[in-house]
Amino acid sequence: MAETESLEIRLTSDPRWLRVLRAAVGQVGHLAGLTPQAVDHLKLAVDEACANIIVHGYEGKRGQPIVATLYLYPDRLEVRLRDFGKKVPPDSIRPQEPDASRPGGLGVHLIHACMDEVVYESAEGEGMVLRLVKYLREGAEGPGGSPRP
Amino acid sequence: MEVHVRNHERAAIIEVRGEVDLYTSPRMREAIVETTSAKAPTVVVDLSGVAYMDSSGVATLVEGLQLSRGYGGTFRLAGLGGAVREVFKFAKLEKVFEIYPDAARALAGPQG
Repeated sequence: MAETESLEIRLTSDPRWLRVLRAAVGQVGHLAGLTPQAVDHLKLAVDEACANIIVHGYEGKRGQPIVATLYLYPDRLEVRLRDFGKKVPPDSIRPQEPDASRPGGLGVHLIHACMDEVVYESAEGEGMVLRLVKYLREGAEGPGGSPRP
Repeated sequence: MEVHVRNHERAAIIEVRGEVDLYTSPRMREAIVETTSAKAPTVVVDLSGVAYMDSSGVATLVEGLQLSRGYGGTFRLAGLGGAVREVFKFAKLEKVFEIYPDAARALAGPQG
């Protein structure tokens, strides 16, 4: 049985890599046939999630591992982000209503606004897994640029 | 990312170019803190050259707004492109800021 098409990117918890990760994720979004707006949403969600890992999961400590794996399914693009930092109860990570006087909690809100599914899971051993899903809409181009039925 | 500050009569214009994220937003913050510490009566942040902004950039702009309000100053944003405007929409901040199409109109203000 053929494996699901995927791309794995390993980075360390340095904010300098965020731009590189966004560029790669954007390319995969285009390849999956997402609209330009959906690609922007995907890039923002992955960026915010990794920034949260760097700031909260690793408490700003550089050089810690983050693994981003992108899976291309016929109906969706899925990104799994694995870190080995602080464990938190998945239920405690909830989007907060934006509040101009406290803009700090905005990242999780943006992730939810940008993606179709957002699932936090406690990983085996250290750290967390975040699963982000974007469904390919009818009329969008399919993987490889062919029109979707 | 590049940040340039220029003074125009009683206003300071902060021109930002590139992508604003967790790595680059501290540079934008530095310029905002510098101009608001000098109590510029009007601060205009020109974002027409910004293709991408994340929540750290948005939080920095909210901080700028609060700092300028602290001394009775005016804090305006100009030239938000599609992707940046959408982040503001998601964050429900479109009504919190004075937003103008470009820096010239931001300098002129609501009466311009």
